Amino acid sequence: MAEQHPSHERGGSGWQPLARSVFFTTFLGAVIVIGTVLFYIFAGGEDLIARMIPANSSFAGDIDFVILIIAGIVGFWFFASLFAFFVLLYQSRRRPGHKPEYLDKHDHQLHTWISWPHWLVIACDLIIIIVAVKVWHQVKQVAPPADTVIRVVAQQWGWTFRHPGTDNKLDTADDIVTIDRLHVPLDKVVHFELQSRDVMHDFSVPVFRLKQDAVPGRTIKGWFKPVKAGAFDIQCAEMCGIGHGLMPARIFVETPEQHAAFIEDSARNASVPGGQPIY
Amino acid sequence: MASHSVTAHGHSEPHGHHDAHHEEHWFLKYCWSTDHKMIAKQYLLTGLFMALIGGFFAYVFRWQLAFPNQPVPFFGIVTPASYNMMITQHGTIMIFFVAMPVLLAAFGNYLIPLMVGADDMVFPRLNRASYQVFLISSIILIWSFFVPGGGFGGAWTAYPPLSAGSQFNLTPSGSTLWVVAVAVEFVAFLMGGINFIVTAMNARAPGMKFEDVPLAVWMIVIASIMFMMSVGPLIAGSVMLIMDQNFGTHFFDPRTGGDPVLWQHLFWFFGHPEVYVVLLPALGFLAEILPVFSRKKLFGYRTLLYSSIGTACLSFFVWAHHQFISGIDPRMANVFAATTVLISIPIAEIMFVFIATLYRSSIQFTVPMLWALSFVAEFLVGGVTGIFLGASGADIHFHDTYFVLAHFHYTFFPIAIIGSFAGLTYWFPKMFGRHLNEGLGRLHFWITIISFNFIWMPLFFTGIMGDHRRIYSFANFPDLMTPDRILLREISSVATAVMGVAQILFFANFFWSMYKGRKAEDNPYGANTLEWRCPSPPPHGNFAVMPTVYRGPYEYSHPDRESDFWPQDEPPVGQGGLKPEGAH
Amino acid sequence: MIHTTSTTTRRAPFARVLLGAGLLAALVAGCHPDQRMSASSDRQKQLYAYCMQCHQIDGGGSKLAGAPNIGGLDAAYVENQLNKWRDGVRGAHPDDAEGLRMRPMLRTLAGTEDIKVVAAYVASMSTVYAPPSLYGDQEKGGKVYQASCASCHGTEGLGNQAMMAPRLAGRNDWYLVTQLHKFRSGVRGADPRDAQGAMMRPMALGLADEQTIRDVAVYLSQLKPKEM
Repeated sequence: MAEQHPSHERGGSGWQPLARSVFFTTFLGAVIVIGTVLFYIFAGGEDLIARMIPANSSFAGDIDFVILIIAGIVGFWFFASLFAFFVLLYQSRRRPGHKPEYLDKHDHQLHTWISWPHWLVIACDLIIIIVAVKVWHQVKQVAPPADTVIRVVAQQWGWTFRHPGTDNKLDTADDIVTIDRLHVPLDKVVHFELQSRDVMHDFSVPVFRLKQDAVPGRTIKGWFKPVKAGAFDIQCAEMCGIGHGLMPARIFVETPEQHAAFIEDSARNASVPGGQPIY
Repeated sequence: MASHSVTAHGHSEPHGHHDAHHEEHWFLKYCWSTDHKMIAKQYLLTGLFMALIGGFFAYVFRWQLAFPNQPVPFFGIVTPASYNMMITQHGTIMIFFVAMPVLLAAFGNYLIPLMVGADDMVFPRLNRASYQVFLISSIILIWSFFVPGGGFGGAWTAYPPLSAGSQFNLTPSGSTLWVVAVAVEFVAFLMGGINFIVTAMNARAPGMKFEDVPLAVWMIVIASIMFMMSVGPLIAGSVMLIMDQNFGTHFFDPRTGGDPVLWQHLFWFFGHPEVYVVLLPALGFLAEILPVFSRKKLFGYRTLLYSSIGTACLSFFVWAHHQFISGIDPRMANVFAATTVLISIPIAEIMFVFIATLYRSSIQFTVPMLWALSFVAEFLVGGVTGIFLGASGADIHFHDTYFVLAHFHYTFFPIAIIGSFAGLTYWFPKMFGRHLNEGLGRLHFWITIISFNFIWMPLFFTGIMGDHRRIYSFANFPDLMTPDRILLREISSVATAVMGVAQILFFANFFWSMYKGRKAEDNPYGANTLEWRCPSPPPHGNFAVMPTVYRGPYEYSHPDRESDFWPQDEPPVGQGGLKPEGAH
Repeated sequence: MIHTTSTTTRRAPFARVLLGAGLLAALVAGCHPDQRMSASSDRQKQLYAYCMQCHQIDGGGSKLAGAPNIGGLDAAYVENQLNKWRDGVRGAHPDDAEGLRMRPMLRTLAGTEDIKVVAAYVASMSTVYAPPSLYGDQEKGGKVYQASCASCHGTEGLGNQAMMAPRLAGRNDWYLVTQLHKFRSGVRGADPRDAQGAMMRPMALGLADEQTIRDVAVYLSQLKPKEM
């Protein structure tokens, strides 16, 4: 189309201000990002996510790392684009004596300033994909050997947790079954078998950065390794009916003594399943 | 070009344009008119009406989230059942009954014939049928709120077995009516889409080559093609779901050999391209508005066009990023993470084109321009936050949290609301022959944009901090009831109410200006495209004289011309060596 | 009790930034709705709204939801059962599908006071009778009922408040069958804190077979006490 415009020549200096402006933008964006990164490193920003929500499992830090890497990269693009955008808005505002120019990208010199960022975007994408896939592989595709195995059964609208009991084996007589309360030992690799009895549910422990759908008819396996003792929320993260917002559970990460006490206590009252108040 | 033999269909209908001045019975005029402009306005008003319902729901459940279990002003107590129903219907309404009818159907109907220089759609009666079917689907959806058990409350994604079994969702009729409404609506848009594509292909004015077609038309056509290619699986899925609900089949029931994850694939195979189905028309509006108000040629017509086609193609290969943790083989996530992140390339290119268009331009900050510029700024936020969700490793944490909601509201709000407002304020003079009030428009713009950011910025952080979506009250989660989280939720909810109230300004402006606004001339903005070459509002049949197109749509501030615009149909004058755009 | 566990999160820096945008925050502060419903009947209706999706507006219940008709049960019994749900005495067994669906609903009632209010409202409604949904011989059922159940639940099925035995006349037959099965298997009533369950379990186990259970259930579902 515009190639058919031999008569039309853009002004000789047309691309240079754009070049300067894009370069300036890129430079400023880089300054912003490097500045932010330095700020966070010196101000303890590497646990930026962990300051908003505790990172209490062995892989929580890795997932936070992915988030922060992406934040750095897209933060650069975001601020660079936004900066260029507002600078251009200011420079190009309508005012007396200001005339718009007739340019388009069929001009190869100008095209460069679109295609270079374009290659940069691809490079950034590759970094993001590699980091994300690496962590995904580590969390979801492989698992360290299990210290203990639990079973999580979701149903409308409650959680049944089957703990292995004293013999550390599931489906034996000394299993401990609880409703809405999961007890796991600290610093041990816990494998879970996730099942659903009716509809889709999702076993989500935000402080562990753990999330997995429960699909009826399947047993889905996963793992986590808690690294901090305490009690944390378990949420259902998949719409499961009118009680979806009302099926909170708690996970109790216990020191060896606490966990032994829990097992002993439960063994004494083995005939009583569940039985804990809802609040 | 062989365009006019096809549009002749338009003339053969009983009350064709030759007796346009004849006073028609209101029933024929409003319920049976095949005029594309009448149909477009009906789509528009229906969409705006549905937006009021969807918006009211948003206000109610946001208020419940900030102030759990208190009676919501103008509503009352929000129970878990009514909360679920409202979030489900909010999603359904805003996507299927607001974004689609307004962006695709209303503007598609209004703009395509005018922009390509045709007197009507190629299939005017199919067009009319499309609106009637859409109206029926809207009525079915609203009806479903009032049947015993209430409206469907299983989220707009309607994952079975919850959506398939009434013993699980407790809305035996509501869930069926919901699926039926959505499926019937798809029928309407299939009819509309055929019309858009054929009209743009066959009814273009003489001389209008592919690259002379305004990008708004291109985008609507690409969106229609995408919609047609993606909707098949979902219609099949909907039929299976209706059968599961009512006839005891078990397509999605794992107890008898079905598979609930099958629905997720069918739904998201449609659901992800659907995002781009509504995105592309909005990008098309920007491609019209930005050059007009910056008096500058669009930077890279082809880049924008090919990037959009690239986005459209790529969007068919990313659907499983909605299902990373849904129990699919975890190895699949790697592939879909890669394709998803790659979509950033064409989208970034599109944003670069828009931003570069502003370079060395002369920007006039009119209301439509403000909306168009805010689209770029807000959509950037939505775009970059999408990367977090596409990266499988990070999605483990973000999946189904408020981060996801904030992300897609930062894409969908620019698309459906900002895009619609941009288009509406821009083409209002053409549609109704009068100008909107500029001051009210600005006030409405600033309140809406500022409150929008106050709604959704805080929710990025509550999402990171572990608020999951679709939870009717966080009061049951001790970890989530910290003061900072509560404050963020409250800011968001109050901003929702503010934004809702601000829309009164818009509706007042809209209806007042429709009758009392300043009269608009034919081409108030000095725009090039053909719709500005016919009277405002265009009569039945649109153009008094069939236009002939000589050049592309974005020739602003051409150095060889006195005037800073160059209408597409202005015959080349001054034979001083300047060749017309389309000539060979 | 779980609230006492300390899981402190440091304040997010961003929350402070947003806090700085004080205009809106001030607006928030002004908008705290803090009106408690004064009229108790309004409060009753408000709380019963949480029950309505399953138990219906007239307390007639919904077989689809596994929710029985509850209208006309006496307040003390309803309150007692709701307290059991809240304390995990009832509905906290992994195999109690309906019980587990009821259990979280107690989270919508803020405490003992709310439970009392909603129990009073349930008691104020009248029993909604439903036609039999099972095959059962009412005559045989009546004989079995008068022989083994009537001593606690009353000859007319009106219950006995002192023993916390509920009114059974007019309860849904499918609900009675499910509950009898739950008592028999220990899904309901096996908790050591459940005094009434402990009494009821041997009674349920005393019913001869499935058909006897159905006979009794159908008989009770159609039983209309003389007072009516």
